[in-house]
Amino acid sequence: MDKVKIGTCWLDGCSGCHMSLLDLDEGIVGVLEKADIVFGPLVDAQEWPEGVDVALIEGAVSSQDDLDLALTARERSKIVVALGDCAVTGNVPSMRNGIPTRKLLERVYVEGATEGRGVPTDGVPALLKQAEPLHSAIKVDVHVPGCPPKPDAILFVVGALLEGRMPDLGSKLRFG
Amino acid sequence: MTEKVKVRIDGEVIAATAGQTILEVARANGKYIPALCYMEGLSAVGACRLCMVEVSGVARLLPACTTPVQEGLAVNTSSPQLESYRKIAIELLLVERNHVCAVCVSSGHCELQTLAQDHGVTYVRYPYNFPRLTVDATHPRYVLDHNRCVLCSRCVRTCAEVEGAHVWDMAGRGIQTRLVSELQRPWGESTTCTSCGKCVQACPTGAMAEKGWGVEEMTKKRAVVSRLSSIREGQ
Amino acid sequence: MTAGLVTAPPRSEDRDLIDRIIGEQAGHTGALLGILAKLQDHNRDKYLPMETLEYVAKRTGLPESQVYSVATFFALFNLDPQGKHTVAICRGTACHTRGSRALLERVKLQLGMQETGDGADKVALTTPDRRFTIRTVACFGQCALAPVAEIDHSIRGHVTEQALIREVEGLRRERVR
Repeated sequence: MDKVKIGTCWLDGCSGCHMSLLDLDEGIVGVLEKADIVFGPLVDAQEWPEGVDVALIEGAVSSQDDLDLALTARERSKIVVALGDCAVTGNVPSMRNGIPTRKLLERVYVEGATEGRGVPTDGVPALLKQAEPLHSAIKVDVHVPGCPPKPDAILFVVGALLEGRMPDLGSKLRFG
Repeated sequence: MTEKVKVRIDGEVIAATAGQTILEVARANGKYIPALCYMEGLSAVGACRLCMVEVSGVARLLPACTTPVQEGLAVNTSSPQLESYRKIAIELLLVERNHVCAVCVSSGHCELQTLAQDHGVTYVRYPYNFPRLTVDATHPRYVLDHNRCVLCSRCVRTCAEVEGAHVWDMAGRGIQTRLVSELQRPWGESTTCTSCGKCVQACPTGAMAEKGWGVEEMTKKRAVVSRLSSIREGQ
Repeated sequence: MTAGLVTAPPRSEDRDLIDRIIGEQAGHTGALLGILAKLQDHNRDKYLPMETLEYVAKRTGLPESQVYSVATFFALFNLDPQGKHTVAICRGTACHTRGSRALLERVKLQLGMQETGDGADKVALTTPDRRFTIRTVACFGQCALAPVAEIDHSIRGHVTEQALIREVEGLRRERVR
């Protein structure tokens, strides 16, 4: 039987959910017996490949690049998991949402800069009006709240998906 | 005079006293009905709509915290429909303000967070409101963060009914409703606040907190407020 | 909305008026509502200054927060000075579907008003010269006449942009005379 293909990525997040993923410790061995990680910060692939079975997406949708990657991942994956509070609720990245993006950029790149003042236009993706939860941009199949979700929770979710079941999280997880 | 009545909660016959509310009888008998704005020792206002129950013979749902029991009343505290309504109520509370549990002093001890978890709210189906709200840190010991306020009014009632100062009230209406101290004075400039801190202890979320605590560090002594109230009643 | 800090007590003649009105209403349940309504009626700019609210609280013995709560809950009460003329546009469902948003935008444009931009549909704006206040109303209960506008307490049905602007301009010319 072919191995299950897992893709991971982080959008507007702190990588903490990926740290939690690494914290599966020996649990990751069991996962890798059944699955290959085909995309993500942990592997070399440059582009989200076709035919991914499970997408683990960390972070809020905050920039045009985030949105593009989320849309690609959705299109090329069977099951999308919103991993952690930023992807599930917007969380910390969404705390900027009350501030117009122009003001925000000026605050950081003009008022906050000591040299090279000016809002960059090249090399950085355009900021969206608001940082939104993943499910506001694409269809999400499983939500895994937590900041970050505990390794046990990730293993529970991934374990179920590897067995071809949808995980029933019930009251196992909380926000924060 | 205390008239005894018999009621049926989830099929079980329970002896109660007339004048007690459905919620009081249920809780006294170990039955779980979720509630957020209700707090023992304070008047009930029926604001959060989490304690809605089905009463036989009544077509609409009734809030358990404000509905008095009467002889022969039959109550259903849970059903798929009630569960779906309670989930909606919790989700709407979560989208109304900016509840960022990850950076909240009350995370892990928050009643809203716990309710969401208990009811299996792993995400919110409605668009977040992301309002721009203020934080009042003018009081030397306490802080009020409107981002985390659920407008349950437990602080308002605690201050008015237990402390007797009535510093707090609700201003405005609808989505614009805000907790205010006096005539919208900063908390630190209040002339009636006694700095007793009972409002802080009564607050179910991190909206009111003691200064100096980090994330997950603020635990509330909610029982203190209820106990004070019951001692006063006994006098 | 006016900030909460109270700077000056009401003038003595105002205090006398407040005392008299409170005296008339005292003892009634819900007296506060009547007191505030009367005080606003007597105010030249049809509003309740903060100093008045503070004084009412002091005289009635009610908590300031409760007085403020009542004054901000009811759309009837204004905490800011109102214009000489009031144009109220109904934003109820029936009026909305019959184009009341366009009416609102048109009259705002006519009077040179900027959007407050808080995203809420509720509007209460006064021109800097205090000639006009424009406000929205949730529903006048005259849905059959939609869209409905109220100009200085007189309700107009089936309002068109042209008719509304004609009326507003008529009121504006009054000033010149």
